[in-house]
Amino acid sequence: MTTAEPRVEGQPAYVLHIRPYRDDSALVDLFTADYGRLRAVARGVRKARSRLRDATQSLRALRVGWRGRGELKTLTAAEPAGVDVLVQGEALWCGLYLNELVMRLVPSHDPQPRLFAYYQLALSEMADADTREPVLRVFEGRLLEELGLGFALDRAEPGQQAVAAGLNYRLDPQRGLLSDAGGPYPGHALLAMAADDYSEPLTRRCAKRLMREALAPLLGDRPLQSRSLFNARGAGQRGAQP
Amino acid sequence: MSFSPLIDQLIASLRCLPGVGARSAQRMAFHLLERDREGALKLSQALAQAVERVGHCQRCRTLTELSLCKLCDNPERDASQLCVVETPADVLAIEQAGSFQGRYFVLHGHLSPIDGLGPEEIGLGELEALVQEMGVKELIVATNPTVEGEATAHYIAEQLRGLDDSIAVSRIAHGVPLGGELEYVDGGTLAHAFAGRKRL
Ligand SMILES: [Zn+2]
Repeated sequence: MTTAEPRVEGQPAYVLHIRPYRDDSALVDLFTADYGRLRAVARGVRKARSRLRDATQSLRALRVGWRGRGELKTLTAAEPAGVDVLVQGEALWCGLYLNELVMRLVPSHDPQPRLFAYYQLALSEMADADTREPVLRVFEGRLLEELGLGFALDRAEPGQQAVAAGLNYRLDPQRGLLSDAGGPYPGHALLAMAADDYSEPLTRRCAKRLMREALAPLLGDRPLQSRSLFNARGAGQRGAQP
Repeated sequence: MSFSPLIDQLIASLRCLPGVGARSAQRMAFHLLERDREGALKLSQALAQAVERVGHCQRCRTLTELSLCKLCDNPERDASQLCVVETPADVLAIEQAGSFQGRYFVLHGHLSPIDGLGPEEIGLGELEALVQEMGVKELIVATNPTVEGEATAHYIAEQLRGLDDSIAVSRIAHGVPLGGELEYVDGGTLAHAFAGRKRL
């Protein structure tokens, strides 16, 4: 005897990635509020009048439904979840960067409600060019934390002493920040990061380098592709690149 | 159900066509063998020749067996306008609409970091070289209205902005379809239609 297939309805979600599947369907990778990252097949979504049409757009807040017991779910509904920001221009690249981070680093079928909230917050603040870079840094920090790999920005080894503005530090992959006179990270920049204050260009440069270094072991020998987007010639001066 | 090795092989091969499942592959195979062997032979020769010889146009990268496709080889086409599209099918669609007189460049995809498709993989270096070589004055980016298509369009615009400020880079408008009713247009399309609104 079989019991009814599990169903989920009205689940807040974002599309991370879409891949064409068979004739008119697609495999959709979703980041959901309560179920984490998962993959669903959207049947007939590439037909002109599909009910699932909204599931073809990433970076937009959706409410989705699915059914299925196995790894691969079947998408049953997708609709816009109310007011949304239209992500445009360079913010699109940042959005693709967030999506690549989540696809690469967040395990599937592992609920990440807090990270979902940070993702949502990051997207909603992406439209403003001045906050874009801090938003990416804060998200990277939260991602590391939620994956159990976070480290304190205001404490350092040896002895978990308070980070001092006038000293320099380096990152040790196992132990976190380490006091080191030749280290690349000045204490005052780390303290600014700990306070989410990215107003100084030096803090932004330092944060970029620190997050890159902290993420590197997780990425192995496959670097994030979306970083290459920020190398367009006209871009770059604004410094939002990851 | 199994017939004979050669028939089974034919049926299995036909299933690589889009929209062809087991049943229709079977029907096609029997039609070709029973009613139209001459057509079948022509089909197999056309397939073999096309697969063997069709490659990409040296200039615009669309599908062709010539070194330069007909559009690139046509002196009547306006070389000052270049339209960037994702696929050869897009070239065909714009040609059938009949209002564009310039030339094309085919990306064969769009930027998609998760799939490992960066600027190099979709030929943006070649595009830049072509723009300079042809003396393009206007570049029209006609990638799809998806997040990846938009991100690609923005990348191309930034790339050329740094190269030569005198080149106008434009994006095709997208929004409410002709003859459509607003009530039935999805939210994303409407949002884009508003973002791209025009002064009357
Ligand atoms: Zn050509």
